Amino acid sequence: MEEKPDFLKISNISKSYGVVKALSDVSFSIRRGEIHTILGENGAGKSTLVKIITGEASPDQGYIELDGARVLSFSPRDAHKMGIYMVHQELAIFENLTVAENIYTDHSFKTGGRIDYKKLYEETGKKLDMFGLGAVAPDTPLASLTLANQQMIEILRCIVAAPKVIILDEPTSGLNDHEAGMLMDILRRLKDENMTIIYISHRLKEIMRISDRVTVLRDGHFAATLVNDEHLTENVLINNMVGRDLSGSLYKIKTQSGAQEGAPLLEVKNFVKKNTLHETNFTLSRGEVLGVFGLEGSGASRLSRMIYGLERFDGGSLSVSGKTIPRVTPRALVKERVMYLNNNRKLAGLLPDMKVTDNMSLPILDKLSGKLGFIDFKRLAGITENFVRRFSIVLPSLSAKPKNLSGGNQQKVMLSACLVPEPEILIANEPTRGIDVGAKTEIHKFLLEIASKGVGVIIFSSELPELMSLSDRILVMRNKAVVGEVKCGDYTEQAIMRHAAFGKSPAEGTENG
Amino acid sequence: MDKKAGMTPVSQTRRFGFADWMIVYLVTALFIFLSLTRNAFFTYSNVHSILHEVSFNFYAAIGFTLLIIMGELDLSVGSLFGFGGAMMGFFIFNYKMSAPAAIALAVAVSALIGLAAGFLTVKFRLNSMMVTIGVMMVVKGLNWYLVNRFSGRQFALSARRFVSGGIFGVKWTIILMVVIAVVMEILLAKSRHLKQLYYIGHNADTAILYGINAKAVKCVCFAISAAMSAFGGVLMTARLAHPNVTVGSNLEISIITAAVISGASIFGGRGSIVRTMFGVIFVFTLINGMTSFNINTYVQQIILGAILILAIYLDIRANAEPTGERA
Repeated sequence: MEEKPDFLKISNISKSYGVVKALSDVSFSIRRGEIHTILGENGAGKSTLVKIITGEASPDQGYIELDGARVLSFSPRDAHKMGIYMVHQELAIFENLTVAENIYTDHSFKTGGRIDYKKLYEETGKKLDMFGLGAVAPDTPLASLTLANQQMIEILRCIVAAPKVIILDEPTSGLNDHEAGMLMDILRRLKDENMTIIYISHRLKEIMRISDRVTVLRDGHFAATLVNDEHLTENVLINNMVGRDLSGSLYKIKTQSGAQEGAPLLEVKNFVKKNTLHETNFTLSRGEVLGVFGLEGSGASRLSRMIYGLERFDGGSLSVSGKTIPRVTPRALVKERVMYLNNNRKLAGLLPDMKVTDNMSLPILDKLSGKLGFIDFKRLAGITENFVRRFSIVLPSLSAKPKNLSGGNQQKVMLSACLVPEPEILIANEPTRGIDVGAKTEIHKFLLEIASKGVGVIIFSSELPELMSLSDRILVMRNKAVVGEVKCGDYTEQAIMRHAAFGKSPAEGTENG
Repeated sequence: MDKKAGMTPVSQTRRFGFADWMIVYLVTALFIFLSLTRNAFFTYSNVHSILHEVSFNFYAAIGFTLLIIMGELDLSVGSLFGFGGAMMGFFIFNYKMSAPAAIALAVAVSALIGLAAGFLTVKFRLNSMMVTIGVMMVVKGLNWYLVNRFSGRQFALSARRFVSGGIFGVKWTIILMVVIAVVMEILLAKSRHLKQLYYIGHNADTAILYGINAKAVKCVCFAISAAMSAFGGVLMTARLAHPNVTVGSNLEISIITAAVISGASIFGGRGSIVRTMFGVIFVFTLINGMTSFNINTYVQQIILGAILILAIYLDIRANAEPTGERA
């Protein structure tokens, strides 16, 4: 294979968000006319890197070179002018407009003030034919297409802009194998036309099938750029993804289970939801830390929401301490002393504009007040002070507002709010997302501490080292189902990652490739 | 903990404190201005009659304020205000009911209408502003229908006497207004039931996550809003002595102006009953003042509209910024 010239060069790029270092000194280059995959665990820095390439974020250090020319701080608009286009994971389509209108959003084919629909449909038809979508009429409303075809239309929209670089973020996450195959064919053709394709995916098989080269990021660092030849195996990719130093004190792999004997505290029976979750069963014991691991799209986060009644499910039952919950709602679960630590405190879980004391009183309003319903503010201050001390939360005063605190302290306030009602079960969804290492270690300590006091903890996390250091047992999810269980003592990243990447999910049919 | 003892965010509290009570300064300024320029303004009887009118309208603003704290808008308050009076007339004239029974029934029916509006809003996740505009249209139609059936008939003198009764020369509706405002203000700050409203207004998802039944709370407040609007309208109609289609017309505009100008936010999370009371006093004193300057009613409308836009603009500037992000 002849060596193609470098086209997009990433040079010594670093980027921090507050105290979180998203990228440190990343350098590699992407050639013209290649399909280059960027691979990494959640939080490895892929999305930050892509944001920098598309001009949505600017690096703290380092620069990008495009076709030999250094480009400094540029906007997404500039990126389009330079020919860099991105197909997002969430489709940015206009459902009520036709296929043609979605592809030519810039209103091409205008004569005077009017759009020449005849010509528009003609051109669109040609393009659709080219991509094997001849069966789709240009004047069909987009809403009536399948998800796969909608995705193709979005890609087509980027292609008619004649880009030089096109970035695809998890393009196959909503597609079945046949549709994914069609997409692969299109990508290969674009590559033949000398387009540079940056491909982001978790699906190793797919990556092996389509990529020329794979760059692996790990914890914000460049790990390796691997050529996709006969030496590359999925195991090599996995090892590169997770091959971090595990001897550090932050992530000591747990070897002894703390789960207590006896009847289960929580029992999930036959949880099922169409297209979202395959039949799922598990139990949680007193004092146990149960980890649930899944890469993006595995359904882990949605399972956590279903257990807490934040999302409806089609069938199954939930029991707490042997008692079946007739209607699973957050309110019913709070009554059974189950609390939920949300994965995104900006969306829900924390009230950034209300006082810290108000954040603490929300889950225990009824316990804080007597028959007349008046809140005992003195007791509230005492409780808040206790948590501030216990979790060493740094704040100017108890009436401070969380929006003025650091991310780590915000997270501690949210965790405190969940623990104020003295729960028997804590469901923690990504408990340490977006906080610095110091606060992370502390939160890990607190989680283990409450478990040692008999609280059952379920941690949903996409950070494997975190789960291996905290959990007594890890359930691995892939493609909407629990595909494996690894017990404390048998933990290796490779073993768990193998389940997460290849585990046979009953939710899928035959897999080719 | 030592850090805590040393630092208290005094400056912050003071700054917000000033903005919070801006409405009181506005009312004071308006009173001083009108006293200096109009001889007849600052007399006991004039101020008393302004407050008497304010009191009826204030009742309609109570539920409105509770809802705006939760980020919901109830635009049906004005039409229910009118409909309450029309229903009272209907029950008295057509069914020969006693006045108290007619009032109770009118208020109860309105509460059910409010409950229905709340149910539609929370059950189908509709925009409450749109739902209550629909309710407004429906209720207005019913109102006109009822009023036309007995136009010209008058209530018994006892009804009028009842409304204008008082203690020590102060009309009881004014006393009730102040009592409600103070009691509700205390409850909003200290009782768990009303404190919930602020949680829901700040972030309903968070409130739900920690076990608050936001849907039920909203429904109850829609019912309170409708019931209290009808209550105010019943009293107003009794004072006029006969049902009238103009009762309550455009009241929702006065109330939204009063609420927002007094510091409530259309984005939820902010609002106070006492301040809303001052807001209502401001709006109706302004109307009274403009009339005393012989300003044309059309021009009055333009001015009130401009004030509403200004208030909303200030609200958006102060409260619409994204929160939670730490730079």
